[in-house]
Amino acid sequence: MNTKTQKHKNTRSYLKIGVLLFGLSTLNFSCQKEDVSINETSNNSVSTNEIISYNDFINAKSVNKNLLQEAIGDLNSLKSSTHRSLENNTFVVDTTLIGNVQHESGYVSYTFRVVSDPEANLLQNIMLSQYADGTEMNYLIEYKTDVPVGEILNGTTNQHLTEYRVTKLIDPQLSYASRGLSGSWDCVDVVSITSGECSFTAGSDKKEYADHPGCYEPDQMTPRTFITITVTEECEFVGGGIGADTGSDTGGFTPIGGGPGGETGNPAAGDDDTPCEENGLTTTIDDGNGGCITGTGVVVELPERNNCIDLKEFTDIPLVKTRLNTLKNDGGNFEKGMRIDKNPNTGEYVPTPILSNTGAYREINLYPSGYTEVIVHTHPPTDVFSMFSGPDILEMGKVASLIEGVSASTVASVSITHILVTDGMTFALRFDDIASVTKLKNIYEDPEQKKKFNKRLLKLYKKDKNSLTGLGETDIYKQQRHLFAFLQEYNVNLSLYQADQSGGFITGWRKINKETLAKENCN
Amino acid sequence: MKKILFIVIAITVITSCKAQQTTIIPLGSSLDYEFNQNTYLKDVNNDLDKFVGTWKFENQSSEITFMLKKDVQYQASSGDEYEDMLVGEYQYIDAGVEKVNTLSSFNNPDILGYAHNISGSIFTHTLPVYCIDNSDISEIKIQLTIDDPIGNYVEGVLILRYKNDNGIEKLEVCIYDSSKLAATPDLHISIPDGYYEFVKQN
Repeated sequence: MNTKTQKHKNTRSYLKIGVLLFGLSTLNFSCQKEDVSINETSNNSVSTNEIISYNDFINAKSVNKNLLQEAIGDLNSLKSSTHRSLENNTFVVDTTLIGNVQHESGYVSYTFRVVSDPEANLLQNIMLSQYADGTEMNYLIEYKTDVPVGEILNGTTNQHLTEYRVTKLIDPQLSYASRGLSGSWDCVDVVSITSGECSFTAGSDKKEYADHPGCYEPDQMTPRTFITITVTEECEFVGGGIGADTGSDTGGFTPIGGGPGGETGNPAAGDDDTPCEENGLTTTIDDGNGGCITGTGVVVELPERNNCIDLKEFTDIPLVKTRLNTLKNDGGNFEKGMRIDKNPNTGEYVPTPILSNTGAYREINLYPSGYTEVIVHTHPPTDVFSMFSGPDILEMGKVASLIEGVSASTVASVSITHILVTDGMTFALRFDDIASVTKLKNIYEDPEQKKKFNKRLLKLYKKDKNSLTGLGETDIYKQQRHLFAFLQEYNVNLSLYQADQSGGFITGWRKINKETLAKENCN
Repeated sequence: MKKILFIVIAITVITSCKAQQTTIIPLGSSLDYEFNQNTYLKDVNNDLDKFVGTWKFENQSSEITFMLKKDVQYQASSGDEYEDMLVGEYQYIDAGVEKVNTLSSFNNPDILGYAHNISGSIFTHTLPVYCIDNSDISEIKIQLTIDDPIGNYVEGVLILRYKNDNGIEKLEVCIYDSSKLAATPDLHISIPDGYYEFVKQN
């Protein structure tokens, strides 16, 4: 019995020691790449670092697009789409905004955001790059995040990148299995922001992630900007998964974004160990311990959308301008309206003629489709309430639902716009983030939620009338206050804009402050 | 010790009672409230009661029957506010052809609140200009939603005014289509827009 007890005690002790040793070794393993230093200088060789449009990308003369074309298909066809599939639909990339890094040496990279599950904690970029010697290489750059990536893209939270990995995409026809997704993850704890409005430098003074020992929380940064992350790494580390150099290249760390990993030659080929030097392609700095540090990357996020400029883009279309003026002057008792659809082939905005119901129906069904970006309708002067009604707002959810039902809509659902012509004024509602699109779509798709939504807003509008006497006045400003409070209750982030008009025509847009109702410039 | 125990229990009870306190907001009130389970939008003056019952409109070509009742302290979903509302079902016959009949859902215990084809509790005083309005502005009229089973989002608005015409209880009803979210522009509620006078059935 005593022997048994002693044995049991021993076993427990061994187990404890084992757990302790395992923990220590895990900690050691996690932190073994921590002895790198922050490279603040890598942007020295970056001559351009910006977000460009797809047209800019297509028209860029500095890059040979042969390999890029192989990777992402018919480049010209992408002009008509905001999202395109890569590699037989395995990847879908957002082609509305592209990160572009150019080095003085002639190195160029284009980074596309991979459209992924917004609930996932993974941000992916595809980076297409061309080196000074004409060599081309594509990379998959992945970042683990500690919040759903949708929140980061929506700008509702600060960026929280925890780990990254880079995989070379050698074969443009790669299957998932051959992409080298077994590449190891490394901490995004040594980063500096070299562009955009962001500013953070992570380091040991920052909070350490519980789930990622050795990884530290970056400072807060302005969301919805593009950022360039400079990651420093020792040359001894050979990472990046399949596609990393097969030679004994101590600089074989696959570049994070725009940097070619400390190599001047073809990064796909093995090479001899190269002393760290400023090679002209990217900054490569001797760390003093026989290693070199390098790497520049771009995370393409949705930049702060300027809704006023977007709205002006719609309302500057000559046909739209004149039709909005016609709608404003319409004195009928029935709603009228129009749509602005996006041509699925060309991506051009196509305004419909002014629509009105046949027969004696007062409310207009604008009959949007999955290619509708803007809906416009009037509230006749005889309407009790001037502002957007519940069904008006839910129509944006309907459009979102229709867009989702189209396999490759040219419309980004966050761009859905509802313009209301009422009381001689013109207002517009636009989403602030993708999450709100989903919320509104879900309400629209649930008949009971939809009824409740409509009734709740109507009740708020009617609050300004005394329940017994019916006396009291509502006005558009009271209704705006109710509208903002209502949307806040639902946590749906929609912003309200009002058009500036001259001679009856819209000249620009201003955003209505949700607190003060003041019209604020946002052009 | 007993004293302490008593005090602790008393505080716990009081605190828990306070936590569950419901704010009663009279229907149609201009008071501020939140959309949560601590709010009860109550028909404090029983204004909805006079609309309860079976009502019939008839003319040479068509016939409409409304069956209305009051759902008390209805909660659409967990966490929502409670409210009293008028709910019901209807039948519409045009030229001898039954176009809509949802009356069988009226007493279905599984159908509550917004799931009924007629529902709502909006107190209103002014009517849209295209509705015939014989009422005084101080009179409470009730605005409801009416669904047509022919399709999703095919719905209209009912505005009910109660009147007692020499002992005969009547409803003046303004009906208009509001199917702006329907799948196609040709989908509208079966009952034509207009003014209807219903008589209460015994």
